[in-house]
Amino acid sequence: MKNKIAIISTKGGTGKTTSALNLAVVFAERGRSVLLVDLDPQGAIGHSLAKGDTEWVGLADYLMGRAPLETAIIATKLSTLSILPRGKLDPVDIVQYEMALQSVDSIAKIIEAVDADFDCIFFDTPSGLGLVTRTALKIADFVILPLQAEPLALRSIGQTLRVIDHVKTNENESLELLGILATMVQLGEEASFNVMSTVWSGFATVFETVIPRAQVFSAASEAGLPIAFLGGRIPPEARRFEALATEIEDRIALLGGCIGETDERPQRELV
Amino acid sequence: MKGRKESSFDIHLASNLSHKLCKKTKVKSTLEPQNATPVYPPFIFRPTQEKPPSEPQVTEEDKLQAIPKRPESGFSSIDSFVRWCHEAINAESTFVVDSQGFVISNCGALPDEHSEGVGAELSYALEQLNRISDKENRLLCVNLDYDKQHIYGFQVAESDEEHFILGVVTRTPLEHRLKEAIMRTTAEVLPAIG
Repeated sequence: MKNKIAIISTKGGTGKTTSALNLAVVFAERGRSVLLVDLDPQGAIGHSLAKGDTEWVGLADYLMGRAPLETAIIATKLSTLSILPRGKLDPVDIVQYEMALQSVDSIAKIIEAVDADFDCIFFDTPSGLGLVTRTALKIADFVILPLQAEPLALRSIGQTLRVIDHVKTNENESLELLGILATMVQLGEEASFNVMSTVWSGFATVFETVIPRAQVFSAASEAGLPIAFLGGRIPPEARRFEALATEIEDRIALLGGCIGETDERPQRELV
Repeated sequence: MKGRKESSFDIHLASNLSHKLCKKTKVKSTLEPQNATPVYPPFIFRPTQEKPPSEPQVTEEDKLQAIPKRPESGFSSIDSFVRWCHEAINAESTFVVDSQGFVISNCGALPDEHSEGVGAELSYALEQLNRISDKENRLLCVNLDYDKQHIYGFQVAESDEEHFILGVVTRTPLEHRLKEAIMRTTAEVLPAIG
């Protein structure tokens, strides 16, 4: 399987976890077999789904020998979506946990063991460009870079791109930048508009789909759900993630890959 | 954008990187090109509070142990002296030449073809250098450092006319204390058995 997608950003609060979770849900609802791996030592995926620090077993438990991998991978009510959460971890032990994550190819071995079971694997990573992010980049095939549409995020995007370039050149030459994903976009705000103007005019691989700043994300966070699982009318933001998923599929196809089934079909008769 | 001047952070670099990382891009950057690429110095961690490791204390006893002991029975011949020097120095080749440059004793691998005649050349070099030395300040040793070898010539004058040279070829330079010890022993032993 060649669809391991890392979502990384040096800046915090850019929407990495939200993007990872909602994209994983869209692909799973399209029938793809998806694993969402929470590499954030803070357990961001668990928090997004309103799970406490000690509620789920996961990666930490597996690495400490407290749970087999089959138990650490959580099945969801969406049958095609599985989650490998961070697991039960005392915040005091995060340093040791991070070191364990990047040592002796721990993650690479785990992913190798489950690779064949999934059409795609998403890695949600912590903010920053430290050990865990580097580990994710080393084993990923693709990387998505969420960019919060505000000046501070734009100023730091060079750091992330430099690390991606470095890893591609020196550690994982098959790594491809799938795209820069603009998040929390507010085109009505001058600063946000200016950032988008700069990004659209000056950067390559920017996804056409942008994720706006919207109240629905707070509502989803409060409910501990992906936005597509909120009750009521389907919010337009959920549609945006569907559009983004299509763009991702197209880009992977353009790079010679494929998520799940190909879009080939036999010729048909119309009349 | 309003804050375009702020883009001097690393926006140009970031833009260039995004194009570099994009295989299929047809988008051309409209940002003005910037020639100055930031140079990142390598990060090498050097704890500032940690004191550098101090030189190990060398005692007089250590110094004595570093100097090879002479055989209790002394040296019965030049050959035994050359063999002792050879082992003490862990040399590639050790030899003694007379004032004419003839090798009168040797031990270890003979010098290869490039070093052939090294004894004679050493003798000649010392003879030339002796000319600029005064009698109160005699030449005792020459040291030639090459890329892969080090040649030492220890000179012992028996008389104004006659002298011997202990030649040593090594892979690594001799420690000063060892060099001093060999020089002293040579000066003491060689004339007595020569």
